[in-house]
Formats: sequence, C-alpha cells, structure tokens
Amino acid sequence: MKFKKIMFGWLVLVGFVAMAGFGISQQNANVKLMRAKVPSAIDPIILVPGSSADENRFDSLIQSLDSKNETHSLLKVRVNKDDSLHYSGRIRQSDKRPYIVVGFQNNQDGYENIKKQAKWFSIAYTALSKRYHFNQFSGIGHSNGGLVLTIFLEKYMTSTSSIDKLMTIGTPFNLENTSSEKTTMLKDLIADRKKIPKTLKMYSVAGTQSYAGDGIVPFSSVDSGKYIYQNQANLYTEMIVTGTDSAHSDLPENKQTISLIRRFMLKPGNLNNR
Amino acid sequence: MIGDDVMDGGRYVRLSRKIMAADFVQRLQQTFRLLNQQILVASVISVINFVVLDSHGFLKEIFGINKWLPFYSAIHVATNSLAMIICTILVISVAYSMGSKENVENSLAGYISGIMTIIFLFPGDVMTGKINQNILLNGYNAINLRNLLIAAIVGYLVGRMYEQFLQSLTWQLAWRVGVTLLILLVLFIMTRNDWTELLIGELYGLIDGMQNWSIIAIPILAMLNCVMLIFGVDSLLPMSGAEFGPAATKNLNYVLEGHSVYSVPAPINIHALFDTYATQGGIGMLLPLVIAVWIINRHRHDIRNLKWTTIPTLFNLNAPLLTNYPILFNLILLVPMMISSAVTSLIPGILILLGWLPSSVYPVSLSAPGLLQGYFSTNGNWLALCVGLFNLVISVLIYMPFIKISDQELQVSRHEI
Repeated sequence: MKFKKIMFGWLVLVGFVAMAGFGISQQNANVKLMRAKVPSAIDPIILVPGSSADENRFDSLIQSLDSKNETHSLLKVRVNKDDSLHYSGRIRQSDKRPYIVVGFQNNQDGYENIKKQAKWFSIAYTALSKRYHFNQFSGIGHSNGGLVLTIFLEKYMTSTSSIDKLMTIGTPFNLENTSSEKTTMLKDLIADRKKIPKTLKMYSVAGTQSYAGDGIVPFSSVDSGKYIYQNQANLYTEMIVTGTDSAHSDLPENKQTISLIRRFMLKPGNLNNR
Repeated sequence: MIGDDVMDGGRYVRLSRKIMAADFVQRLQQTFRLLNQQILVASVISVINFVVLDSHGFLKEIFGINKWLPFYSAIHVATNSLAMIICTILVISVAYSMGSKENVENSLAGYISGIMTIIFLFPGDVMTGKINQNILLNGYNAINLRNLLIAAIVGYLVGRMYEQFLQSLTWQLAWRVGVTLLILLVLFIMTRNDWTELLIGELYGLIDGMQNWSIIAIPILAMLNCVMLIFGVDSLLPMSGAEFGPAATKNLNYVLEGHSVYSVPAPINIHALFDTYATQGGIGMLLPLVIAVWIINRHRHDIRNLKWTTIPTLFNLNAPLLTNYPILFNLILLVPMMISSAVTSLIPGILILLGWLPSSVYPVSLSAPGLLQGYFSTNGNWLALCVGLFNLVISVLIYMPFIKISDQELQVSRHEI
C-alpha cells in the first residue's frame, strides 16, 4: 500500500513537471509565432546597392523620392568584412517608413561574393530588426543588390519576419549570360524558390538602351527572374524602362524608375490587408 | 471550533439543509446518481476529445499529437462525432429522468421534456433552423454542465406541468401552469447565446476599464461567479468569447509589438487575475475542492466515485465533479468557494501592482491545468508558477474545514431521508 502511494506521488510529480516543461516550450513557440503575425509599427524600405557601389549609392534617388510634404529619415549601414556594422544617419522616432541602405565593404562582383553579401545582409537585417523593433520590410535592390535580396529571402529570412514588396532594378538573374542557358546561380535560385513568401508583391524593372539590354545586363538575364518569382510570389510584374537614363548605372536615377518606386513601393504594405 | 458553532446555531446551515431538501435539488441529485455510468462514459470521451484531440486541446498542443498520430484527422472527426452523440444522449436522458414521475419507463412527460430540451438547446436560430457552427463545436464536443442543467430545469418544469394537466382544471391551476410557462419562456430567452454573450462582454469591459478599482472589483466578481455557480445560473450562461476581453487584447498587442510585459497598459484585468489564477478546475476553484475531499474522505466508500472526476477537473472539465459530488445548491461549500476565489485573484493582483509579477498577457489553452495557467500566460515566469501552487495549497486549506461540515450535514440529511 505504501509502495503504491509513493509510486502515485512520483507519477503525479513527473506528470506535473512534464506538462509544465512541454507546455512552456510550446507556449514559447506560440508566442514567437504570434509576434511574427502582429505587424510592427515600423515598416522600413531597405535598399541594397549593386557591385562596386557603397551605401551612398542611393542618395540622389532618395532625395528625388522625398517630396515637399513628406520626407523620410535615412539610415546607412555598412557591413564590414569582419561582420561588424557601421551606422551613419538615423531613424526618426515618428517615422514609420524610413529608408535603410545596406552596403558592403566587400562589394566585388561574382556569384561567390554575392553569396557572402547575402550572408552579411542577413547579419545586418537581424541587428536592425532588433534595434528598431520591426518584423516587416519592403526591399529595393539595384543590380546585384536584387540578387542579394533574393538569396536572403530564400536562405536567411526566418518565419518571424516578412517582406511585403520587393523591387529589383536591372538585376541580372542569369548574370551577364546572353544565351538562354541557365547559369549555376540561376539554377540554385530556382531550386530554392519555394522558400520565397507566397504573399510577396514583386516588381522587376529592366532598362533597355538597345533592344538587347541596358548596356551591361542583357534583358534576357533580367527576364530570367520569372523562373524564380512567377507562380511563387503573390504578384510578379516585369516593367521595361527606356529612353534617357536607361543605361544600367543610371537606372536608379531614371525618372520613370522614380515614379514606379513612388507608385508601387512607398505606401507601407499593411500585413492585415493583404 | 468554528465548525461546531455553525453546526449548532447556524441559521445558515438550516437554510442550506432546506435548499438541499427542495424537490428540484433532490430530483436532480437522484437523476445524476441514476445516470452515473452514462456520465462516466461521457466524461471519458470528453477528456479524450477536449484535452487530447481538440485543435486547442492542451495535450494535443504540448505533445504535437496531430503531427505524429497516424490518421489524426480521421480519429479526431470520429471522436468528436461520438462525443457529440454521447453528450446529447446524456442531456436528453437527464431531461427524460427529470420529467418523468419517479422515473417510470415510457413516460409521456419524459418524452415531451426531451423534445423541449432539444428545442431549448438547438445550436443556432430556432426560427430559421440555421445552425451556428461555433456553438455546435464548442458547446457539444464535451460534457457540459450548462446543457445538463438546462435539460434538468426544462424536464422538471415540463414534468410538473404535465402533472398539473392531469388534474381537473381550476383557476388556481391555470395560474400555476401560466407561471411555469412564463419561467420556461424566461429561461429560453436567457439561454440564447447572442445577447447573453454581449452582456458578459459589456460587464468585462466595464470592470477592466475601472483602472485602479479593478483590483477590488475582480475578487467581488469572482465571488459573485461562485454564488451563480452554486445555483447553477453561471452554467446557464454561454461559455463566452469575451473571456479574452478588450483590456487583455490591448495588453497582448502591446507586448507583441516588442514592449515589456511589466509596462502593459492595463495590468489588472479579469483575464490576468480571475481567468488565470482563480479558476483551477473551473470557476469556484474546484480542483482544490476535490483534493480537499480526497484528503478528508480518504477511507470512505463514497470517495471511489469521486476519484475519476479528478482528471477531468484537472483539465478544467468540471461537469463530472459537479454531477458526482453535491456542490450545486450546497450553501456550506459556497463559503470556502467564495473565500478561495477572492483570495486567489487578490494575491496575484497585489504582486502585479507591486511590480513583482508580470501581468498574464498570453492566451492559454482552455484545457491547460489551472495550476499552470499563470506560468504559461506569462510565458514562463517562475513566480507565476509559485503563485499557482500557493493558490492551490491555500485553497485546499480553506476548503478542508467546510468539507468536514458539509459531509456531516450530508450524513444527517441522508439519515433523515
């Protein structure tokens, strides 16, 4: 009888501890999930420049985007080779839609480097989201910056964050390849495309100085973005910009590009209304 | 001893005895005794359905049962249907038993009671026949005291009316029948879900909006809830969606935006104090009650029936306990119930005001053991766990002397019968 009682006591204790232990780990997971679902008040636009450019690349673009009535704060971050971050500028406390430019000390071209830059971007993103309390953002990537953001979405973004809109400008999804043959990078990007959020609204802007491309990136390479985003993102739109300032490096200052950004990117993407 | 004083002179005890001896209460207890086995079956299937398989079930959530159990969906649908059928049969059995005189077989009054109960408990709009999925899924997937009590009252009133109709018609009789019909009508209106839910929601909003006075208002509300529970009124109200009131929702959003749990806008609210800390085993702190009965009645024969009600009570399913142990209409047990409910909601309230304990902000599964609710709803605060344990122990101690008196009282009344 006594043995039975002791066993019963132990059973109650073990059951209680197990319920508390398993319960709290489940509760932790639930809370994390809830946090991700509640959109943060701040929803920044994060801009990533292409190769050979630094965090000052978008200065004139941002100046053009700001209107008389509405200016947004600008924070620039450079990720050094040793993973450290260098901040310049600041985010106003009342600003719900600030610009954040993330540049890299190692801004060389090439697939291997782009992969490294995506990793560096994820380091910057984690630090920024913690520092400024946001869990959602919109992205603009010029040239290889668009590749960095794409790799980030496929490899590094966690379920607690979300991207509402992405605009790539002259992004060479198939590098400088003019034929229809897919490069290793494009193949990799296609292989992981299922990890791109299904709610994303994606806009790809191509420049065409000639019929073939913007002078550096062939149109067919920008067009290859469809193999990654089409039928995965909520919306995939390709747009072609021609005329003055449609050479590859002029694209961010192109008036049509600016009006496209104004029209499609500046309004915050409210997660609840999606 | 306090107990002796109450026993000797207590008008209160005499009142309790009188209420317990009332025809309705006697018949209710007799009905529950008669349907004991059926209640046991319904309880077992309810625990499996409500705690283990339900999409918000506590054990399902913590062990991720849906992920590894083969054919989980099929099993869940089957158990859910079975639980609904068994619980509905139980409800109609209660109505039949209460309606039929002396539980005779083939009682017409019993059948009419059963049919009336189905109309009363129709989960949706009676006029259009449109079923409200929410009520159906939440109110019928487990044994539910509300349904049992509505069945009992409808059965009792219909039974009485039937008896009256058998007598020759007089003015006095017509008056009595009229009154009975009126009571039935009031009950019918009272138990419609939409407006009672709205009323509860308003009350919650009012109390949560009191700011500094909430800490006093909430224990009073807790005590009021106990009075209602003892007389079965509380159970007649729907399980309200207002449990997570506006103040609690505001707090939750505030914390999810990344702010600290210690600086929430409304730290003292009904969810944070009453729902989380003062409902171990459901309203009235019934888990400590059943533990106190265990401790005091260890050697008694009638404890055997009570043993299996502990597990449902642990997961806040209190209908098996309430139908097995004379708690309903028992004024003696009302006293410790009120004291423990008030004390257990006051203690965390003071600790929150002192800034030692964070407010309970996160939602927790309804079937999570009351003891752990504080721990879970603060997302793992150790002090909250200690408060839960302390509340359990102190409530057991509060209940113990009263259980003794209540048991003696029951022995006396049994001998009298």
